[in-house]
Formats: sequence, C-alpha cells, structure tokens
Amino acid sequence: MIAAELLRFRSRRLVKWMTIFAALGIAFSGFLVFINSRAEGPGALSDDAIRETPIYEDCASGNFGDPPPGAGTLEEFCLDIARQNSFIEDKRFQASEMEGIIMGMTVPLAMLALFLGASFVGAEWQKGTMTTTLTWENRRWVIFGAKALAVIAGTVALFVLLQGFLALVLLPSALFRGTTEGIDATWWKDTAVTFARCAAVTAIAGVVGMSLASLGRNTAAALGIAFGYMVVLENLIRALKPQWQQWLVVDNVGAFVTDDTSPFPGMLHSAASAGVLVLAYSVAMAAIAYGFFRTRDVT
Amino acid sequence: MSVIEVRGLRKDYRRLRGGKTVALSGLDLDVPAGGVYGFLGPNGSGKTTTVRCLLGLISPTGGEMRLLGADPRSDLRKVIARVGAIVETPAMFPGFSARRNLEILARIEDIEKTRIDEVLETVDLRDRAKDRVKNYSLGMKQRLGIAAALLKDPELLILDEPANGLDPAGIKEVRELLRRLGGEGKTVFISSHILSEVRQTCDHVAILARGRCVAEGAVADVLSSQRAAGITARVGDLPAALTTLEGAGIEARIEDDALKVALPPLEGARVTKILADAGLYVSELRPDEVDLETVFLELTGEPES
Repeated sequence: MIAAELLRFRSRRLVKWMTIFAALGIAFSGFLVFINSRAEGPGALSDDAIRETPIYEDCASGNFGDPPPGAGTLEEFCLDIARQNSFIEDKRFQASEMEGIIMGMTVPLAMLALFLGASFVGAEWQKGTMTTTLTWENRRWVIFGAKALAVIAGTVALFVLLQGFLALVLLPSALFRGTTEGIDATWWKDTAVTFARCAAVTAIAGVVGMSLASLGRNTAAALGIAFGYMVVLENLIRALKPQWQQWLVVDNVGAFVTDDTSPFPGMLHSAASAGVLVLAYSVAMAAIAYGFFRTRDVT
Repeated sequence: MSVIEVRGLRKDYRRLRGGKTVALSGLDLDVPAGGVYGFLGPNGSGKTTTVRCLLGLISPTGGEMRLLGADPRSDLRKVIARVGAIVETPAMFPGFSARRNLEILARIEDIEKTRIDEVLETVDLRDRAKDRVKNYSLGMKQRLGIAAALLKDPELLILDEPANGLDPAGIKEVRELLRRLGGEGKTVFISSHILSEVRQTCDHVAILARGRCVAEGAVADVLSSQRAAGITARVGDLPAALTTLEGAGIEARIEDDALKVALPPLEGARVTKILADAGLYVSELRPDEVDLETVFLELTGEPES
C-alpha cells in the first residue's frame, strides 16, 4: 500500500510542476545573489582609499596615540584601525548565512507541503478514487497510514531536493564572489540540526494538510481552513488573549525552526518544547481525521 | 453455495433537517456461485447502497451479510483480494495514464506487470494505455474500470452499471466478456437498471424496489412466475367466449382479435374445457410471452413510459 501511495505521490503532475516552478525560482534567486555578490568588504578596500577616510587622518595626526608594541609603524597601525572601523557594506555572499536561508526557505516549502498534502487526499475524494482504493484495501488505518507516510516521505524528499538545489545554485556565489568564512565543524553541526528541524516542520505541514483534506474531503476547504486559522484566528487570539500566545501554532513553529523563543513574547517553554507541541498538534489532527475516516460512510 | 448472502439488510440515512431516508428496508439476497447474476432495479431502489454495504464502504443500519463466506463488517480483509468491483462510475486518476492507474492498484496486491497487459488486452485498451484517462471517452473509462476490477483475477466480480456509457459495440463486447467470465466459473454480479442488458447477460436475477427484493431466481423462473404471464386464446365468437369465461369467474378481455385470459399458462387446459363445454372451440391457445420489462414494471410499480 505504501509503495502504491508513493508511486501516486511522485507521479502527480502537481508535484512535478510545483517542483519545477520552485526550482526555477531558486535558480533565479541564485542568479540574483551571484550578480549582487561583490568583493567590497573592508578587506577589499585599497590602502589609498583607506587613507582618505577621516578616521585614518585622525589617527595619522597622532590623535590615537603611538602604535602599541607589535602594531608596526604609525601608518600600518592607522591603516589597520581605519580598515576595522570603515563601515562599508559588505556585499559579498556569506556562505555561513546558509542556516538562516534554510530557515527562510522553510516557510514557502511548508506552505507547499501543506498544499500538496491537502491535494493528495482532497483529489482522491473529489475524483472518487477513494472508493476504488477501498475496494482493494478495506483496512482504513492502512490506507490512512500509507497516505500519511507517502506525504511525509514525499514532502521531506522535496524539501531535501529543493534545499539541496538552493545550496548548489548559491555555491558559485560563495566560492567566486563571496566568502566561505565561518564555515567550520560547529557551523556544519548547527546547520544540520536546523535542516532537520525545518524538514520536520515541512513534513508536519504536509500531514496537517492531508488531515484537513481528509476531514473535509476537499482540497479547497482544507486550504481555506488552514489559512483562515493561521491568518485570522491566530491573530485574533494574539490580540484578544495574549496569554494564550505561547500555545499558538505559528509562534511555536517559529520558535522551533529558529531554535529561539525570544521573538515570541509570552512563550514560557523552550524551543524544543515548541517542536514537541507542534508535533502533538499534528498528531492530534491526524488522529481526529483518521477517526472520521474510519467511521464515516464512503458514498 | 452462495457467494453473496444478505438477510434483512437495512440502511437508513439521517436527513439534515430531521427524519430519515430508508435506502434498504430488509433486503434478502442469495447469489449462487458461478454465472452472471443481475441485480435489477430502478434508480434509487438501493442497488448501489447494497453494493457499498457489501464492500464495506458504508455501514448498514441492520441485517446480516456474507461475502464469499465472510462478514464484510469484520472479515472483509480475508476476501477482498478475491473480489473485483466497480461502484457507480469507475473512478480513476484522470491525470494519469490507464497503465499508471493500474500500476498503482497492482502495487497494493503485488500483482505482476504482465497481468496489467493482460487486462488491458482483455478490454481492448492496450493501444491507448499510455494516454491520460481524462482524454478517454466514457466508454473507455468504463472499460478501464472493468480492467481494474479484473486485475486481481477475482472469483467474484461486482459491477455497478457496467454498460454505462458504452456504445452498442462496446455493450456487446462487455456482455460477451461477462458471459465468458461467468462461464469460466467466476461469479459476476451486475447491478443495472437496463433490462435488456440483464435479460441478455444474466442467468439469475433479483429485482429490487424501494429497498427490498421483490423477485429473485433464474431469469426464466422470474418471468413465468409473475401475474403478467397470461394466456392468449383465439376463438370464433369472442364476445360469447368472454361472457363464458367471466361467468366461470375468470378475468379476461378482448384485445387484438384475441382473448387475453388472466390465468397462468399452466391453466390453459381449464380454459379450453370451459369454452368447449359452451360450444366454443379454441383455434389457438398460447402462453403470453412476458418480457422482463413487463415483470420489472409490474414488480417495481414503475409507470410505463
């Protein structure tokens, strides 16, 4: 059953087209980053340009005192001081910012996963193919479970594919027009953890979309409920019941993805707890959806 | 042995504004193994509801069911691999090709790909197997549905309106296919409201009206058992013959220069004797040929169009 659902997920034209559109968007973004990434960091300024800065002139006139031992001549000392204090925008692409980019990309990818999860099941109800499936496998828990696993596997695969593609298109910018400074073992570890957290959020979004579509037996209804809840209801709660804010889905997803609760006022639990809470919400949603699927007539 | 046994099956649907709609009101059914069984009834009589109950798609309100010996409510898993079915219109993924649709189903039961080619060949869709289903005609979709139902090589085939949307050539092909399958020992259960199809295809028939089975048995038995079967007699003096029969308490009428007697064909000898005793000699006596349509309309109370 899982093999059948996976085959169906990857055969869907919607999945293929969405992947192509997302990849095109990523490729275009990579191109823009490459164009805009320039070696204009402080280190790239010429000595002549530094000498023209007010801070150099100040230092050269002796206002900063004598150079400390080991700092070289007064000119070398002042060039150093001026270079360090020149507030020139660094337009180079920093590969070390990849962690933040992964987090940022998770928002559209989670929305895409929600949409794909909802349409994966919603289309079955709308086309009536759920009836056909049930004449082959009558155990509804098997069908629901297989669909959930296919959505998880499919959305995570899509996440890995598109994030990988994003890293690939940004690589030339980092290597040839930017910098790879700051990339060390710790960075790799932190980025890997962030990547796993974001992938989990994407998979959860897919399962939530699938569960909503299963409840309403319709894709549009599922998407309407999801966005209505996140955009309208959660903002209303935020405004009317600020003490409940720490339990809101969007806030907890944000805290979990960024591993930081500070941007979310009133959140008393940790970012890890926020992740557990989001997981619990999605499991509860899936359980309710399955309960209805198990007991309702298929007409 | 019965492959489908239904006793007192009930299904009520609650209405949103209160009350309930009774879809099945104590249906009894026995479908023998082998051959083609017609499940006949007008629209809304409960045919599809019965099929859905048998396949575990809906829960009956009451009654007992057995499908290949198993209770569909608890043991359907044991027999589902031996049952192929189409419920209402065959539902396939319109964006996928016929082959991909069948591949997805085949993976559920680990069916080999060669079997997909076989069933596509059987329903004459092999040349169009790579086309997307949304570009198929209604008849082609119907044939694909039959291919999907045959994919498991089932012992029992449950087909809801299998001739729906087919052109005359397609209907003939499907009829021959179903008869062949029935002849090979499989049981083909056809739900239909098309009388001519059932008459030409089925060995047994059950007629459903308002959620109940009103007649069941071999097609010939069902035809001969109904009140509609009468006797046509030709006599020289029709008015006198009519008066004589009415005098003997037998209902009759004059129609098309003949006497239509409302008695079963087995009572022909009695009619002959009564008329002969009155000096009226019968020149022709024959049982009326009752067609399924007449029986169906009479049993279901459907107005003749």
